[in-house]
Amino acid sequence: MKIYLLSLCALFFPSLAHAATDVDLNSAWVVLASALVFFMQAGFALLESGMSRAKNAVNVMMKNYMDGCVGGIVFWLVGFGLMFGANATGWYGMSHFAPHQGEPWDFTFLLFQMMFAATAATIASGAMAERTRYAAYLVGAVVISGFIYPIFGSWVWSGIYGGQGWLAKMGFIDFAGSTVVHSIGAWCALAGIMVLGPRLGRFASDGTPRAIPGHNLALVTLGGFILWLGWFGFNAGSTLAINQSIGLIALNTHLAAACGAVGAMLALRTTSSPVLLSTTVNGSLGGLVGITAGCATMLPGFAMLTGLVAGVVVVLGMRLLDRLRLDDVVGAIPVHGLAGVWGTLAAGLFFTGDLFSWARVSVQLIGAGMAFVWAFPLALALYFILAKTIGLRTSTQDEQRGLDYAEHAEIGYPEFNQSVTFDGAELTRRA
Amino acid sequence: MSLTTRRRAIYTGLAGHFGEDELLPLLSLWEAKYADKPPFALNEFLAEVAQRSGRKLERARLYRELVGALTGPTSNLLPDPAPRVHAWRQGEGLEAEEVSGPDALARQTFDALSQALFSLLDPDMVPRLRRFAAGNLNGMQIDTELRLRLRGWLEKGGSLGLTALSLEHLRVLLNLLYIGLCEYLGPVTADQVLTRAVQKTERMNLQLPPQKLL
Repeated sequence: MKIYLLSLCALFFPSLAHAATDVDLNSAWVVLASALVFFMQAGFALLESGMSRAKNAVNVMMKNYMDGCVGGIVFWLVGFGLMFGANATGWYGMSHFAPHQGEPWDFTFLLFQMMFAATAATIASGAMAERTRYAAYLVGAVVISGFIYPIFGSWVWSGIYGGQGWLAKMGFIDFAGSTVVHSIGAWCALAGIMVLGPRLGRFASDGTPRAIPGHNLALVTLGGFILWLGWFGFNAGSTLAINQSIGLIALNTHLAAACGAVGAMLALRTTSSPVLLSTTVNGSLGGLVGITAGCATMLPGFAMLTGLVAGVVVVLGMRLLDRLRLDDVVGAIPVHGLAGVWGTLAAGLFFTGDLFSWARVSVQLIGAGMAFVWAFPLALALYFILAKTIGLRTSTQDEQRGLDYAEHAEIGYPEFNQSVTFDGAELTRRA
Repeated sequence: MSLTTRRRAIYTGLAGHFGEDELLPLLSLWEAKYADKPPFALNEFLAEVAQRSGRKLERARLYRELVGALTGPTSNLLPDPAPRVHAWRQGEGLEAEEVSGPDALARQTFDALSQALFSLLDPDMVPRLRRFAAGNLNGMQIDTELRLRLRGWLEKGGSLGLTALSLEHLRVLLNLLYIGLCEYLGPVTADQVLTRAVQKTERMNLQLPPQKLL
């Protein structure tokens, strides 16, 4: 009877007839991590739209939504090949473009990396919010995820299909991308806001910054939580395998985020500034960015220190941008750029078994510096060309009306928006 | 029916048949001789109109249109031409022409909206805002003479500067004032002030709603 039942099971449930292999489990883990990283797009969308004015909410959401779409497609088309293709020189890959054949693991890996590319591209969205033309922004996102990000990524992570990036050869550590993903995205954002200029009235004629509060702090908070959740996939998924290191990576990620919020709070209190929710959320995100490079190679105490310092860096960075009259709507540059640089250095400083090694830190410095040298001028040229051709900045009239009306003919809050800055009757005609 | 409504109805009825320069004397004639007469005097008025214009008119059709305007909903009527008729009577033909034309409604609304906007600001802010707009007129696609007149309006007030400005010009001009508000008060306050000015003007029930200028 038992034999009969077992035969039936084998017949109808063949998958039960053999145990899952390591590759199966690793694939399942990386796909799950990919989904978590993809969910970060939702976090970015909520956070950035919450930090923007209500009249631009749809525009911010749309940019984040489309980053995942166009970024994914162009990364599949060219980015993956440039980043992970055969890399004999150490500077860029030359195979695996538009991959549609391969081993199952190849597709799993491609999916995961595609999500990273979208994250890098979307960082500029928040910084450039409320005054950027939609079409020009999307062109920028295509170039970032299809060229700027993958080329730098190949210098660090290209060892998967043969060859090795020149920074990786030097010993540069960036486990999940403090520099590769976040700083690259932030330097592109910096170039973008420099070409764009600040929003109307963001700075008084004497340079005094004027706060332009976001319209929904609940969205900001929810976005912060979702990003935090997604980051577990971002960092722990970067193991590309299920193994015992996942626990430490996730723990470090969590501790650094928590300490990042505390660091931001302390930085605000030391200058008697009010403890703002948006800045606190940014502090935790700074902690997450900071730990991304060294989450697999440092112990929890150092992860906490990394997060704490990253939170302070975020607050000081936001003030620095204000002084420089650079209008970064969501604080993307301090969070992803400056905290990314700090995290990259921290990964060298707090490397388990080789603490405070100057040789290691100097390589980290070179890597972080090269990210700026590569991404910033290219992005500056890109946005400058866009500004001179199809136009990067919206007209002042459209800024007055809000980009939801001007760019999309669709408003986020048709029943609740209290400001009258455009002709509502024209909405249906525009659509 | 009030005199204003009847004047608007006569104006609406005649507007499809006469140019602006002919309309004003005809309206003045109607006000002087026929405004107080019963409705059947319309025929007499039309006979005089035909005589004065020296043209062959489809009197039956014109009569039906006038009656239709007098008995139809007031929302279909053109705005009250009283200021222009008054200006014509004063011999200020130029000014009468300035406040007429296809974008007269927009100019009327702009005038009200800008006044509402200025009334919401501190008195010392208004001249600063006007000067800001006057100093940034170069971006407007208008000829030099018009720009100079507009600058005069911004610096001194009145309505002369609004001459010949189209609806799109007025939108740009309003945006210029909005940019000034952003510069001096910040974008948050600018949005609030603009919103309140629009709402205040909306309550005046002008023919062209203020939102059309946004």
